Amino acid sequence: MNSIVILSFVLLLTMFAAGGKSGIKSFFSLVSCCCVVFVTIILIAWNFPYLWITIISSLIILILVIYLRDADIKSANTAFLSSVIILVLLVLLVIPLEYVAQVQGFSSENSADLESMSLLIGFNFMNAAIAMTILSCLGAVAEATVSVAAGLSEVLSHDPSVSNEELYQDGMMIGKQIISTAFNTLFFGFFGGFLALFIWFIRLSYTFGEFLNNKIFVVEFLLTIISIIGVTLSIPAVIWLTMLERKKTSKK
Amino acid sequence: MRITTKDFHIAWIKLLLFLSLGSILYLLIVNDAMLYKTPLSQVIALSSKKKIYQTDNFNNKDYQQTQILKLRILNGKYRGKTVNISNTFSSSNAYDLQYHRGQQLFISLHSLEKNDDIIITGMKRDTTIFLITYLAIGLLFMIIKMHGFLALISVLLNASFFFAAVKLDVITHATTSNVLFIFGALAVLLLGITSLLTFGRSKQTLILFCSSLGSTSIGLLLSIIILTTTNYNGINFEMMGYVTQLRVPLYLAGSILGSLGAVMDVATDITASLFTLAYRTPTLRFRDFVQAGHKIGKSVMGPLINVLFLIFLAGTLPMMVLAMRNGNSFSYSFSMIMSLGIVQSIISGIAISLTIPITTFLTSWHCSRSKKRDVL
Repeated sequence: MNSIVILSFVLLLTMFAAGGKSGIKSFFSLVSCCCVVFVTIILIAWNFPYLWITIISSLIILILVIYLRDADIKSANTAFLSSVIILVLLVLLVIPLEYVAQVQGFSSENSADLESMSLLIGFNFMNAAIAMTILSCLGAVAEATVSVAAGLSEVLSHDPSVSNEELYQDGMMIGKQIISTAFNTLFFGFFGGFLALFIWFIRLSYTFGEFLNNKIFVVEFLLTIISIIGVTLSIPAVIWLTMLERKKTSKK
Repeated sequence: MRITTKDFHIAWIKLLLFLSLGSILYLLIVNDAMLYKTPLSQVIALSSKKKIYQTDNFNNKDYQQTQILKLRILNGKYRGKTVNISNTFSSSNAYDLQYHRGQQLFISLHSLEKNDDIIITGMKRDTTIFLITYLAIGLLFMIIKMHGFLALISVLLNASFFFAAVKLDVITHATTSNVLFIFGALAVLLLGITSLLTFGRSKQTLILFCSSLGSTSIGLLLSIIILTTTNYNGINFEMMGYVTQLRVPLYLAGSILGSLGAVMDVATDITASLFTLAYRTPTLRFRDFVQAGHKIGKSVMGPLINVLFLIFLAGTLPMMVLAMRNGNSFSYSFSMIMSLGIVQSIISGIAISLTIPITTFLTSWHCSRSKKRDVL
């Protein structure tokens, strides 16, 4: 039997054991997100306008992650709106950044994988680099906005008369914790995903300078740092939107 | 929150300080050529030749163009001298780059007489790394103030232990048992450090450490059993990148490390909330704690597993595009390029979801038992 099928089945079982019905819902949100990424890759490979495709799939992924959970609709709305704001900011940051960094395409470390491939494929790899960076940070942004929004809605439901200052303080408290844990998630993911590459660097005794300027290292580092910037910005964005939302409802 | 003019005043000074410090550091890093032993040069003039159009076997249309670069050498014994070299690039930039005036390039250079020997070995990217890291750290301190310091220390500590372990792996020549032992020990060490930095010296730290360790080990063990009984069917380890030693243990070591952060994320959420709950309403029973823990776990599980899935999937995008443009079907490209990342994300996902019942059980047990003796 195919290992991936069995492993996915076990994932479904453990998610069910951990979260019951909502675990199954989360599993399906996960599968759908993967499918969205697959379609995005296919469309980009077929030369569809990459930026539009990336933005549309990002929105779909955000909807799948944020709304397919057990959460009150109001905090989900806040989380979604703030994720969209962060997404726009990150797109505006990533495009010039990738042009400065010039990290599109492959590096000499990839040469074994590139054997027998035609490299002159008339596809600008800058587009792939931008799409990759934007897609990879979405999960972290969605997780951060969801957690802060849920925390704040909890605070509001306990004490609807809480002052804006206190709400802000509570939001920051929640935010601090979320940033530390998100840092761990992202950096451990970074170390784990590129363990082989780091061993390669040390085994072939790259100097610190070669290491720091290496194309693949820079690509992966940018992916992680962009996610971190997204997570950090999520906190004030959610707090601000929650306050705005409150002002609107209190006026009515 | 009302913002007074006084707050604004301070913010302006801080912002100005931040920007000027950034500019000074930026200028230093742009001009740090003397720190490098590798010859570094700057493009001072360039001219381009005609585009040569071509079509490959898969009907992809592309062009190649040659540019003649005039480089000024910035360090070493040839400092200040100029050389001319040619560089050929394509519109795809898959394995080449088009250079522009002002960019700094590393070159390999033996003598100035034989220009043909000079090749460009890479671009200088340390300024980019600096700019984006400086921005990230600046935002971090602006938003969560001194707490950002703790997060940075945690990352730096973890990174240094990580590199020490990699070094150890290389020195000991990485036999199968070695790899799993070294990185298993590293995982335990990193877990300990991070738990301590999260909760200080307390019962919470102990619970966080035990439950993260337990769920990662069980998750990994379960995955290894499944992988070996299915005989790694459908997973192409020969497609693993950058491999310099035995593949399977290396892959598993990467999977353990990759899932640790996310596992600790869930475990931290659950322990922190349940301890707060126990502090506020000490009369709660074991069952109430379990219910509350599951509720928190349920809501963070999906988004958290998604974080790793998206990171691992998106990272394969350029290679997938290249493979598909080379006439491969999606399913073939998927099994060759994406399957490894998917399996790694699934292993992490299993560990993350196992964390919820394990942490909830341990914390609830502790909180419901200790309420009488008030040891929080």
